Amino acid sequence: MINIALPKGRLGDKVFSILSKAGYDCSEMRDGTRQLIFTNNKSGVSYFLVKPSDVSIYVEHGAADIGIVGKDILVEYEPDVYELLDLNIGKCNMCVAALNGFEDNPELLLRVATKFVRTAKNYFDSVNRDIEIIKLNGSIELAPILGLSDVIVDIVETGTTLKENNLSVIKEIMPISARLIANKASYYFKTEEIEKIKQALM
Amino acid sequence: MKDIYDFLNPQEKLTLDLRRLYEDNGFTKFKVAKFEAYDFYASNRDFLIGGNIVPFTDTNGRLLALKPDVTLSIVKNIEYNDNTPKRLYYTENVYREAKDIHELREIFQLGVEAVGSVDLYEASRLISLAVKSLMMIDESCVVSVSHMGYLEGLLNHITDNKNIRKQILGLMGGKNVHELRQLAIRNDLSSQYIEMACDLCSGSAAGEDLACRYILDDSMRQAAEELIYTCDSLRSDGLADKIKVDFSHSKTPSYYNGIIIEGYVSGVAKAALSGGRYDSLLKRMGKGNVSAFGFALYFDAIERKLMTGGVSHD
Repeated sequence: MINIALPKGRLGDKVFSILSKAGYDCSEMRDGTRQLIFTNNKSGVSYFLVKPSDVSIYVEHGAADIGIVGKDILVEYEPDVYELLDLNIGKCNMCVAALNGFEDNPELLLRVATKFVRTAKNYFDSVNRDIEIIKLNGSIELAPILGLSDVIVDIVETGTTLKENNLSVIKEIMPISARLIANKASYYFKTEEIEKIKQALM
Repeated sequence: MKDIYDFLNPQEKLTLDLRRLYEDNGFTKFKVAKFEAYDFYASNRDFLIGGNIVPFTDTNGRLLALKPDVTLSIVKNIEYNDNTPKRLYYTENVYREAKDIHELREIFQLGVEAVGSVDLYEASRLISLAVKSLMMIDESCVVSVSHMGYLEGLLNHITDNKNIRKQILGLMGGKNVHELRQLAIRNDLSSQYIEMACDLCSGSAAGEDLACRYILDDSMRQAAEELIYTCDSLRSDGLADKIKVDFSHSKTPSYYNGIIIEGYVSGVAKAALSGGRYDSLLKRMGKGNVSAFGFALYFDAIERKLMTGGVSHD
């Protein structure tokens, strides 16, 4: 049995659809129930639906053998897992954004609001910019609007949210996409099954 | 009347059984000091798991540390010569920071070391002992075997840049072939050798066959021969199905120079055992051309499996 952690939402639905067509179906998942675990003994898979930022935790700790997670989470939390595949879906960018017309004053400590503390710190270290990190958990775009921060570090997909709030990208830090990850111990004991699923996702 | 063994909990029973295994194989118990000078660990920080050291000041004002590792103390304190290796094992508590909660944790660790003149035969005996140690926890286990000399040999053909070499090993460690290829493009690295790295870490073929397929120089040839010898030796012990050559696995090159191992047990989420040849560490500590091989079994990884007999999710 392969235990697969899928992120709740569009990405998880999309990956499930691919795996379902490849023979790893689980009809219960289409029933719209509030169940969190779905098992198909015939195809040998069990799906868990989890919060996207928790997928890597389930996989690292062995509760799931494999999982689908955004590269942003892997960079931020650095879980000790195998990153087997870039699925090239769920594409977006990790960016620095600010209010339109923002001009950075290097003599001032730059205030950066973000969910991605490590990512932000590493980026600004790489450009030798001193910063103050303001850790937020959501609606990061509000921070510069309300004067809480000078800039934000956040994921940008279409850019619509930024545009509608008078913000724009001033720097793209890195591209993000969905990745297939595997628990290292599980990989040794379930190599064939995991590699088959990887092939199905390629 | 109950035997005293029956009063022991599973962890205590395993410790006793392992001690018996090691003593039957010619290893003697070694007791290390609870504390060492803080500087001793600080100067070898890269060798330590986690890298954190817990300092305190003793009553004489000396800065000491709770030991985060045992191998360093053994190497520092024992007398050995080039003729016969000292065969030791230890059962000790070490002190490390728990990764996510940044709290100090006491971890029981059992380890085996051979220090002095450790040839390939001696090293393969130790790997065999490592496998047998894991089999005492669960017959379903695997020891992953890699070779730092082989990996360093490949890296020497790719780049001299230390930062890029570290990135390559890191990406191989994650079996992250897509980002390995991107790294190669960004840094104008040889695609031929990067594809070798991708092949070696993704485990697409039997490890020993791969090692033989990609021989670029004498150092890699020697490393491949050592791997073949080791695998043959373990096959003759009937342990062939417990070994997997996997070049995604690496350790700090400045300490480990030859065969390295990592052990996994079914139902345990992370490595339960780790070790390898660390001649380079001894050289760094000024011990000349002495060789050494050892491994440690991490009871924090396996305790839930032992105590509950079930799956350990860390």
